[in-house]
Amino acid sequence: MHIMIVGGHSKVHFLVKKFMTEGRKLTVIHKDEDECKKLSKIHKVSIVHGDGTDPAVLEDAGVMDCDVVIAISNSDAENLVVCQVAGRAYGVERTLAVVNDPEHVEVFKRLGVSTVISTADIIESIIDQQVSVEEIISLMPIEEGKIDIMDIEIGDDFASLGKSLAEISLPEDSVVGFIIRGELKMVPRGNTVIKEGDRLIILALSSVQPKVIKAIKGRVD
Amino acid sequence: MNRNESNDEYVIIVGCGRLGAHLANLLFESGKSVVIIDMKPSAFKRLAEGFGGFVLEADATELDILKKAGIESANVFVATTDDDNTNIMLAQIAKNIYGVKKVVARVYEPHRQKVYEELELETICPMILSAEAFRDYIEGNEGGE
Repeated sequence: MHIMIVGGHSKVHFLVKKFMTEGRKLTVIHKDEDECKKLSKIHKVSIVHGDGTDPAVLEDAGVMDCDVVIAISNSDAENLVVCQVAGRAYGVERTLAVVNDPEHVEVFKRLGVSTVISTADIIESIIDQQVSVEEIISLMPIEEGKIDIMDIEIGDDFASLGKSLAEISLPEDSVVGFIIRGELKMVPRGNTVIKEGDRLIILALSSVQPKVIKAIKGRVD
Repeated sequence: MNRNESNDEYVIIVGCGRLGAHLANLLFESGKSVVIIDMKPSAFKRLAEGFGGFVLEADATELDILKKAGIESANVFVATTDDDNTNIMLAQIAKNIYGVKKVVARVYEPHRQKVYEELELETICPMILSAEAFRDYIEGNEGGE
């Protein structure tokens, strides 16, 4: 898979680092010459100095061969135009824009951007989750947050402590995928008994998340 | 009756720079209802003293602000901020999200025409208009002598 990243200051460095370790092919476009030089010293990727909203720059950078274009500059408008040029003019199938204004998520989708991420929304949802249930970490949202993978550590006051999985009434559309018990990692069965300090990896629809938490903890904070 | 209809036209202009302000003055004089939006309060100084339209000091990329400006009942939407990308975004929001009938954006970069066509946007590039005016003047002068 060939990924193109357009714009974004320190974010680019870390994204590039992450994608590189996954062995993906990368091209970076950035307006700032110093930023380009800095990136080229650290990373062995193609770096193009230019304006990613300019079709000529995108074309030179090889946008036609990219599977994904990610626009992460600080300007919502710029990210929209990058994605539209890549998608509409050059047929890139997957485009992703980061936005500051959460209301732009729906707008940009209607204007043809395949994925739109609002940093404000993400931060808010993480804080919401952490405030409500400290022991539970929502690992990753799938399908734009409709499905959650949760990591729940069993505390000494949990209702599910000492019970077998079969005895806990988990809601429909949820499943305990893994139990991590120290070094031991196992796919649980109905007769697996939950112990203190176990970490349950649970896959569930976000809508039933409160029920899952209630079944495991015995209360919803 | 016809005149009345054109007088009823409700125009939103985003960006009160020299172009936006001048256009707002002209449209107000020709009897249209004009709302002009800009983030900088100082920008409104460019409007003529007799300008009787509405001014809104706000960021027009926020949907709430556009709604406040009455975009749902606007007949014309003009984007003349100093940033091409912002103008392109605003024009698409007006056209595709709120269904404004007549939408036009000012753009500085003429060589991105391909993109504007792809997005089915009406754009005006002042540089091209000026170059054509200069050419006409120069060629007209040659012919006249």
